[in-house]
Amino acid sequence: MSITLVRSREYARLMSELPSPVRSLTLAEIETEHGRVLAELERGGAIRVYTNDMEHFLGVLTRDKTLLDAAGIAQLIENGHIPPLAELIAMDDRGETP
Amino acid sequence: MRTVIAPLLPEAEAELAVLAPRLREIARRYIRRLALEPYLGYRVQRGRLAEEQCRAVRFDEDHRPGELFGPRHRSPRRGDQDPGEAGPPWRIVYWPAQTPGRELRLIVVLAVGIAHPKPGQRSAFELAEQLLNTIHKERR
Repeated sequence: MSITLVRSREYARLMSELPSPVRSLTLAEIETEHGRVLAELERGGAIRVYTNDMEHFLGVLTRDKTLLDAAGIAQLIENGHIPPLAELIAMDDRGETP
Repeated sequence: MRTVIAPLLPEAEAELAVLAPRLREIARRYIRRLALEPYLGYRVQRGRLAEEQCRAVRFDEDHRPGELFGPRHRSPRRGDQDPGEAGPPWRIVYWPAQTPGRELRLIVVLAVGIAHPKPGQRSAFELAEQLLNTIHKERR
């Protein structure tokens, strides 16, 4: 048997659904640190992304599975690679999917 | 949750078309089986496909993908064997995704091909990565 000691603050972070760690970076900083950024995103972190002059907040970079899947599916539909979901389900009902 | 296999993209259809008939039928059956077992394939561990959380099913011409509860296939390979020389040589590389409400799971087949090709040929993983680049960057 092995026991892992988790400090209360770390426990609270792990149990929370909030992303962590979270940093604010410019596009240039993300490019420079992309290895570290990817590692943080994989650990459940998020990056608040700004233009290089910090004048504009662009959005949040995340690897949240729900958002990744939604964006991927939406792009497939927008680019015409798969039909819209309602049509896809109708095709499946008719036995027209693989 | 309902699982739907997306209509095969022309690239994947073309890769299936060049397979031997028996191998092609096995691949198609595995693709259909993904509707029942969407996580049948293993997680791709390296590179862009890993970052995109893609999966791959191993298959060979002696497989019976319709036997859900039958005997498992023999171990793909021993630890000391080269991946290119032992185990099922073929792969179906796919991307499983869920809609935000989790009412639908979508399976997109990215490539069907050999895992460790001879020099000059492209592996199923390279073909899948190329298709990912195409479908995510280009508007048809």
